[in-house]
Amino acid sequence: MRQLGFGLGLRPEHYQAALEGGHRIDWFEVTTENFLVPGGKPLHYLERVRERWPVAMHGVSLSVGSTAPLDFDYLRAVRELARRFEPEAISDHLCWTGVGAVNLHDLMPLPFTEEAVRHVAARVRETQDFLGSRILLENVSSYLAFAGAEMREWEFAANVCEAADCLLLLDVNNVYVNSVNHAFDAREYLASIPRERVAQLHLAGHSREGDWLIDTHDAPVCEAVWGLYETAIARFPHAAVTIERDGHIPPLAELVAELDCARARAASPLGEAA
Amino acid sequence: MQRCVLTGDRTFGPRLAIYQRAYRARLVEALALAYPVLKDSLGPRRFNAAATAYIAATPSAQRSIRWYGASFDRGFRGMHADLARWEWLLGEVFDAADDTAMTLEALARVDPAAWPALRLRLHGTLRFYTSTSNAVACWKALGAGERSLPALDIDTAISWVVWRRDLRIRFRSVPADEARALAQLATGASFSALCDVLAAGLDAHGAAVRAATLLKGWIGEGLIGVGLIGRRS
Ligand SMILES: [Fe+2]
Repeated sequence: MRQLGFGLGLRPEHYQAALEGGHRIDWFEVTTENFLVPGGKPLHYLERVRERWPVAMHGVSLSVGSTAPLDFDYLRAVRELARRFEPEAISDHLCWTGVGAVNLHDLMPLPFTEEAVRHVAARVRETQDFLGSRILLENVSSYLAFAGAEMREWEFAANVCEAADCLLLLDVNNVYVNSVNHAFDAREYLASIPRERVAQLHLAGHSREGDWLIDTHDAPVCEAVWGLYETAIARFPHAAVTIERDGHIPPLAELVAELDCARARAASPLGEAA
Repeated sequence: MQRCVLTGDRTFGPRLAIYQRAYRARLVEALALAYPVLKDSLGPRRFNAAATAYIAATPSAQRSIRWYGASFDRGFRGMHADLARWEWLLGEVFDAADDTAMTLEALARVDPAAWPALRLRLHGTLRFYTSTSNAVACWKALGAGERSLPALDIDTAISWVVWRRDLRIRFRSVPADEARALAQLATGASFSALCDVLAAGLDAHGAAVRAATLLKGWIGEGLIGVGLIGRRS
């Protein structure tokens, strides 16, 4: 993945404002499923956006950790979309989203075991062979952990990337959320991920529910996550950066200002010194 | 591997509940997104109750959550069922496959001798809708922010066509003979078969004039797709 700089998740609310231009946005990340439709507005606007910006495709349905067979109808549709829009990257999540024919529409956690590493890695390889390109997997927020873990979350992520030869989309907010929910040191997480595996960083907001942090993607990036981001961007300076907002979507200019903040913090003395 | 036992400490319950709440909230949100005016007409409490019942009975088998609410209308009767079907139809037309509309110029190039056997094609985004209630009038009124709903008018047209033109969803009611003619076209009927359908109460010339008038209107509105059935355009 070439160096893309600072991008935003493309949301329908912003199609028009984005195309009117004048914003400092280097690229767009699009939710793959939103464009797996026959025609109409979504594909029309993606065409327009793609004429002017690089895009990356970010899916939620691969269910790479599931024991259900890989959905090749889905992968065929993803491959077709990729042929049409020539994305810089194709990513999904290090999770499972359903069993059999039932889709939970959620990113469910995996057990951190050797068996799971082998299982996921084999499916990632199969996916990559089918798509004809390496994929990025994103670490997810979680509220539960499986008993019998043989490694920590960051070891699991690094091992899958190694075994599958895929890349990591490191969601800094999700690292932070999990560090609170599962009581670990977020900086140890970052320091344990091999530098060459991280091709992209996500930034987002979360909310609090009692003792736990919930990955709601509906708020500005909080100060603690900004701090962790500075550590992350210093360790992974070539990673493309995306701000994600899925709920309470503000005017585009507000997200662009947040993106400026990500740019500034990447260039800050702390970032360079770390 | 999902048979592994989850961490069994005392926080297990509340942690699992986060997923359960998120599951329901996500599906309720998907239904609200697909049925905004139905939600408005029911009010939040009744809508949530209906959504909760639907979610309990309907595990998602969809890849995209966008299609989750496909049979939500079955939980309602009368106007609300019609309204649900109407909103779902609008969603289908919104991102139906793109198509190009036929123009009058293209049709003018057809050899007059070929007209009787001519088989026109409906625009790919066009959908038919029939209701036995004032659902569409209510949809319009609620969409415009009006609080008092139009009274049920039994003379209100019950056949509608919905289609997309220049990325915008269009719809209008159609009189009975026109609805029959369009339904006939949808089966791939020839122009002369179309005239036959319109012949009730008219002579052959009158039927042909009515067909020509309708066709001109359809083309002006973008209801007819470019190309003819069984021929390369
Ligand atoms: Fe993310």
